[in-house]
Order: sequence, then C-alpha cells, then structure tokens
Amino acid sequence: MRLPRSSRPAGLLFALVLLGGTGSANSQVAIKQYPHFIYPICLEDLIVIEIPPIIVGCEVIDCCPGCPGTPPIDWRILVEGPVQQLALRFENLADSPQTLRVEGPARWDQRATLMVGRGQTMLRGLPRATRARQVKVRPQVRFDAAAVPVDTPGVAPARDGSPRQVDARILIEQLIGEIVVNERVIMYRLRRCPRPPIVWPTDQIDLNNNAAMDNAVVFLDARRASGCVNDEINRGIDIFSVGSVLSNQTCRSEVAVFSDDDAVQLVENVTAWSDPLGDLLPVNMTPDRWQPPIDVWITRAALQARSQNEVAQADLLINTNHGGIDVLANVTAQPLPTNANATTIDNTAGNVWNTGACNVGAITGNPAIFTANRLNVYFVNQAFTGWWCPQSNVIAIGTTAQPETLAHELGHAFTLAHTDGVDYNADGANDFPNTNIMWPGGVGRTTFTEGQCFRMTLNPTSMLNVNGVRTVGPTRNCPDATLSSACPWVALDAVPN
Amino acid sequence: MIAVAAGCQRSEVEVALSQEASAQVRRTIVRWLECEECTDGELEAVLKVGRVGVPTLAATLIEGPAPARLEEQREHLAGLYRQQVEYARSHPRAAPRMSESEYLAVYTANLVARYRVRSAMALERFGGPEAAQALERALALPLRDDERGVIAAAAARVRR
Repeated sequence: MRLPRSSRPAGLLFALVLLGGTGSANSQVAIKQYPHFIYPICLEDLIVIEIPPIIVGCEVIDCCPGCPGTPPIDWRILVEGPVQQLALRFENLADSPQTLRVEGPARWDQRATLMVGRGQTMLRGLPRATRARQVKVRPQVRFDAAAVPVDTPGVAPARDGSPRQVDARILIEQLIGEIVVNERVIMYRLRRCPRPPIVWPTDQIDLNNNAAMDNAVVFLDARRASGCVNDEINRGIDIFSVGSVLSNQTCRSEVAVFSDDDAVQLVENVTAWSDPLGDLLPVNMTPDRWQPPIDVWITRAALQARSQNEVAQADLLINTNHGGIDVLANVTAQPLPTNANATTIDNTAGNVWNTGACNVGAITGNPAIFTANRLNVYFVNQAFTGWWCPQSNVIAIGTTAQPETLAHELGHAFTLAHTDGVDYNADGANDFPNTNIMWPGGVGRTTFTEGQCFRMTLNPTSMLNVNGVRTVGPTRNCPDATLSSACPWVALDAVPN
Repeated sequence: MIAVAAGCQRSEVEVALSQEASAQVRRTIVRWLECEECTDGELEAVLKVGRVGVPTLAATLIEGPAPARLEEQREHLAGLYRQQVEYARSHPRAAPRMSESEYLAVYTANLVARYRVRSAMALERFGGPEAAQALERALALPLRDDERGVIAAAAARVRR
C-alpha cells in the first residue's frame, strides 16, 4: 500500500499578515485554496528574509482554459495587516517601469521597485514570461511593529500561539482580463515575544557536545510564574539562560533539543528546576545523528549520479532542518542487479505506481535485491516521481523525481504525512506553507519543522525505531494530528532555523 | 461569464466558464501535474472537471511547463545546488555529484518529463479526437525514453 491519504486541510520566506477581508471573491477562493505561509514570528527575532521571486507569467502553458491570445498580464496586489510597505523589485523589464500603469496605493522608486502600501493595487501591462525572457519580481516587506499588540506587563510573553498576534498577508494575483492565471499567497503571524532582561543568577540549560555549535532550538515544558508552559521555544549554543523556571508541581517538565549534526534529544521528567534561581539542566547532545542503514539500488548505470546526488540532497535537507538523521553515514550502494532482477524491480515499482497497491513481494521476497531491516531505496527506470510502501522498508524513486523527492519519501518512512491543507491547531489557517518538504508536490520544498523532526525520531513506527537504529532514548506516539502536552504541534517551527 | 472565443482555441468543446471556474480548472490540473505520489485523487479531480481541461493538457503535453514555472524551478534548483556546495564544505560526503549546469539540466528535464507524462496519462483517460491528435503530435517530438514509453502507450490505447 502506498502512502495513506493525507487529511485535507523558500527559499527564504517573508510572511505577511492578513487582516480583514477586502479583495475580490476570487481572492478569497485563492486564499482558501492556496497555501498560507503561516509562521509564528516573534518580532524580536525578525530578520530580513528574501521571499522566492515571483515570475511574471501564467502557471500553465496556455494560461487557462479558453484564455485568449497572448495579452499582457495584470497584477492585483492585496496587502493586509501590519505591513508598513511592500517593495517589489522588478528585474528584466525591457521597457521603463513607468510604462506600466499603476492604480492604488503604490509608486515607483528610482530603481524599478514598486513601493506598495496597504489595500489593493493594480499593476497593468506586464509582459508574460517567454522561454527567452522572464520578468522576475523580488518582494521585501517592512512590518509596522506598532500594530502588533504588546503583551500586558506582568503577563508571560505569548510564545505558544495565544491570541495576542496579528496576521499579515500579501496576495498577488496574475490576471489575463479578469481570469487569475497565477497567484502567490504569503502570510505570517506576528507577535511580540519580549524577553525579560537577564539578571544573574538565572536558570540555565547546558548543551554538552553540540556537534555543530549551532544555535540549537529547545522546546521547554515547565512551570513559570505564569503557569505551565508547553513547547516554549528557546535558543542556545552551549550554556544559555532560560530565565526563571520554577519547580514542576503539576506541570509537565521536559526538554526537546533540535540541532544540526545532532540527534533529536528528549529529556523527560526533568527534576532540575527549583523555585530559586541558579538551576542548571545539562543536556548531553549525543549521539550525533542517527545513522539508519540504507541500501541504494539502481536498475541502470545511468542512474548512479542521480542516486548519489539525491541521497546527498536528502542528507542536507534533513540535517539542516534539525532532523538529526545522517542519511549518508550508513549507505550501501548495491551493485547493479542482473537484467532480470532490474526488470523485476522496474516492473514492480511501476505496478505500485499505476495501481496504488503496495505489492512489493517480488522485491522483498528476493534477497538478491532486498536487504531486510534496512531501508531499501530503488532508483528505477519508470516515469513517476517517488513512493514509499508503509512498513516495508521499500522506497522507489522514478525518472521524473526532483532533488527533494527522496527527502520527502524518507519523511514518510519516518512517519510524516502530507502537509497540504491541514489545520491541526484549528486556527482557521493552513498549518504549513508549500515550502514544507512533506507538501505533496510543487516547487521550492526545502523545510521540515521541529514538530516534524520530533516525530521522525520519536514515533515508534518511524523506520528509525522499527529497524532498531535508535538504541537509546524514549519513543512517543505522536501522529501528525496530535497536539498535546506530550506532542508538540507538528507545524511548530523555530524561524529562523 | 467568459466564453471561449471561436477560433482562439482549437477545442472540441466550446465551454463558457466563469472566471472562478477557469482558475479552479487550472489549479486542479496543476495539482495533478505536480503531485509526488498522487494518492489523493488528483487525476480523478482532473477527469471530473471535464473536457474543458483537454486543451490545457494537450498544450502541456506538447510544450511542457509554462516558462514562468520553468524559471521558478531554475531558481529553486540553483539555490539548492549552492546550498549543497556550501553544506559539503563541512560535510564532504554530501558534495554534489554533478556540475551545476548538469544538475539544472537533469532536474529541469525531469520536470518537463513529469508534465508530459502526467498530461499523457490524463489525455488517455479523456480519449477523443483532440486527445488522440495531441498524443500523436507528441510522438513526433524529441522525447526521452520514459516520456516516449508513456505517451506511446497512451496513444495506442486512445486509438483503439
């Protein structure tokens, strides 16, 4: 059986907050249908992030069913929320940008940059992309920090998704006539997370053996003066302050640590905290990343370079997102199988793709082409992207795969589900942007969240645990939809990473 | 309501589509073209929108992804490659096994192939003269083996 059906529901990102409901009915449809880049951003952490450029042009080759001719493209830009200014820098415009007609709260500066204010702006007469020439637009946003609510003095900062936050949103629709032929929705959820000044002594966490000496992400469950905190995000490299953490009483007390080049650490039942300041919780960041044994098979010699590349790419994508798994460490490149066995692999993989039925017995029953208790990854000569057969240690990557396809399939093998259209925290917005690697397709997938990394390591049905790779540390059953004191929200993500 | 202007599209079916419906047909087709495992009924959704999607699928079969989509992909691939090179400084085993130009060429070609293959699969299910014509035209193009295999099989089934 292939993947379970997902439940409904770049580059670098710059989230925009959406307030109110202005814009056309089509805009509302686009907003519901297309991913919202929802990231909870603390204003204090905000750095300038580039949004992947928007290419002027249609999403499909003929623009739309019935789209007439090759007229220019108009943009409808909707900016809502605490956005002081949206700057759209145009590249490769053949003519002066002043030839484009602007309607609404926007003006050109002297550098082919359109400075757009809040509300709706129309930009008319853009040339759509051809193979020879593409106009690119690079957006940058400046937030209006004054419009983001300030926490009430004496009340804990809103770190865990409480309502003291404001959404900002930008919707850019590309139109031929009145038909939307392409769109981009970018959203952020902004809040303030003021950090009290550090007054020594303070309570601290000490990350020992942080292999990459990176700014690790720590989810803290503990008791503070405000009450129990759940998955409070802290950051640190070595020894760092966590302010005043009190004795547990009835609060859950644990720490999860996410770091490059280190396995995900979960320290349960922490008893280090007391009411006076000066506590120290040491966390040993060993082992370094878990090393799942992976056998890589190719059915044609020509697939070797791709297979090596994509395994390396999967290692990068998982590790740099704090996944704690070393994809490269324990890889065995199996020799080219016999023609007969290669045909068996190709045909079996093709049948799974075509039928949706995970009939892989012809592979798993043949020790010449399958190694038990190891993840077997087959690069096959079949025209599909990829699939994973649940609980079978079989992944197939086809000829139309992208560099991130293997990372996506490994995500499934480590229990992750698709992330399009899900709203597990029931806040009315998609939990994930389409830059998440578990989005079921599309361009620009490069990220896992810490909530996903937690599950990849700790879910008992993760192939890390099923194959006996993890030899120390707890397991914890956290399906993607579970949001509790024991299971962080799957979309919980520290930004910047 | 937007009516398909006669003569602007060679289509078996002249359909009047609302602006919203036209955008929705596009999104449905793109979900099928882009899906990884395609286990969420993406192809069935395309079939459900009806023959109004056939011209887009036929055009995609012949011409591949839109230029804007290809450029988005190129930007994404270039960024991934740069990231891989940087990562390999501290993780030498993860060094790319291709040059940047090769990398861009391989995965761009894979995207084009995916779009063609998915279009062929959908056109096969639709059947009819427009689909058959597009599949035959595609076979005259320079295709990769994997593309040709799927398109040829689809064309043969539609001919029957």
